[in-house]
Amino acid sequence: MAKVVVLGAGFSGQTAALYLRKKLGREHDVTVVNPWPRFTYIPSLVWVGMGRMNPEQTMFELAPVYEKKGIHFKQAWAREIHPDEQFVLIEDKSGIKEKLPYDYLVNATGPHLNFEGTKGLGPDNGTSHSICNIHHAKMAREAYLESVARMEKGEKQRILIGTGHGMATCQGAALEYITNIHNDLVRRGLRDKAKIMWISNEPKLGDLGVGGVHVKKYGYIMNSESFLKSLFAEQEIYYQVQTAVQEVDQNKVYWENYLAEQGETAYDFAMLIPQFHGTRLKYINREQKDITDQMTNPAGFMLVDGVYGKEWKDLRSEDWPSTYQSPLYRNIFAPGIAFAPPGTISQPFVNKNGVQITATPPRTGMAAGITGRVVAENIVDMIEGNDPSHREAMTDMPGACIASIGKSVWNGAAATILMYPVAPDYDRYPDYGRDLKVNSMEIGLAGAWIKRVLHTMFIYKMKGHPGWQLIPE
Amino acid sequence: MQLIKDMKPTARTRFIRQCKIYQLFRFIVLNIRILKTALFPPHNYK
Repeated sequence: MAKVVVLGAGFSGQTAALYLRKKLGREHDVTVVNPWPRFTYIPSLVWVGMGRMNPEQTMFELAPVYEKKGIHFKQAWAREIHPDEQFVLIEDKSGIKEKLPYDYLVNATGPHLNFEGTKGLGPDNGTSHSICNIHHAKMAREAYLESVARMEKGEKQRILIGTGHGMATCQGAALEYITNIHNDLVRRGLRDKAKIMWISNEPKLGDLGVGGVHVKKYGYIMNSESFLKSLFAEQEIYYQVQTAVQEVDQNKVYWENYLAEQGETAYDFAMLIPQFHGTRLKYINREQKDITDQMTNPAGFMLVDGVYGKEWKDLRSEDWPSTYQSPLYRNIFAPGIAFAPPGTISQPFVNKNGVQITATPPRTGMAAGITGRVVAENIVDMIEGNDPSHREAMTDMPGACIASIGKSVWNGAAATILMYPVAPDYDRYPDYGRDLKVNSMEIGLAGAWIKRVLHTMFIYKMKGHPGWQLIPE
Repeated sequence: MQLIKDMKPTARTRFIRQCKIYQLFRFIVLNIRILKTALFPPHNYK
């Protein structure tokens, strides 16, 4: 009998737990450890953060799902992993600690939102907002609706959306938020009362942390920069890229750009995505020595089977991890945001003052689900006495991004972006790094319908309802 | 902060983006394309 422990019940953790339970016999034990009792469908928090969706519609209770599936559930934080002694030290909300033994461990703990990386950033200790978790999305909603109330009284408002750190990721979520805000204000008849501004660490508009996307369209090969410029021109959104936000105060953000110019931008409402770090887990060896720095990169993401330490220009497709297995402890895996990428997809940049301004690679949504499934399949391989046989590197992984531009299923819209692979492979596709037969980008009402269907389908899948495995990650 | 005015979609493009009949067709096409890419990506089996 094997004991498999999954830390985290987000996209990758939940996918891994469901596949493990499906593929392993009942003699094997699957336990999920998650600090929160609910699963949250993060992509729809964009709508929660502006009052266009009820928070309850994005969540469901995990315990009944696990009870039905025969998965054990511990509502607790993982504090320490002891890989030699094979146990996880967990702590529940009343502070009681417990040793949870495992034979195989899935570290799907997702990100630590590193608000402290930028002075004054975030809703808890600052005045900017975030839509990265349900608590923050609700706070963003209250602040946004307050701004709307001021506009209704005739006041002008400055709305600033983007990234709040030079090394932030998830530009796609911020893009959805800014375009949805535009549409919401148009719907309310208040668009002329708002100056909407985009600030980000991307090297160019439309980079989205994946180095931009090229597509064949209208007889040309176009890139996502033109696509986004067109969207921002249509929606009259001011923008500034190549910028690291360095400090946020009550009504201004202070930034530095590629040219090492320093400046400030005034705002009334700001939603700035923080830098992501790995969760604050400690790895302790047999001698009770902290080996976290051997198991993770400096940002706290777990090192897996990738090739680390290469320069950005020297990175090849084979350097990207594909089994998500720790090289030091073969029974520990890290899917989703928890694994350390070997480098960035976007071109990194350090300005003359030494400020890093680089969009880091997104590993959310589809990538998180796929890596969760691959990890589960590899653990099943090992339990059956084989080597891990399932591989899916980001340089061999498709990506589908449906970026909402307006929620309404009658007159909303979304940008449907398809790409293959997520991380460009210039050996296979020397010109653009990706397969132009697969890549596509378009805006339309059909995207809004797809986005709404995905919301319902993924919650269905994550609940493990009949046929869940037929829905692709 | 800059505001650009180039490449604004024309009235025809905006109409097509909201035309329910055409968008129903695109909904079907895009779903097939997403499923095809997700289920049968052009994997590299080198």
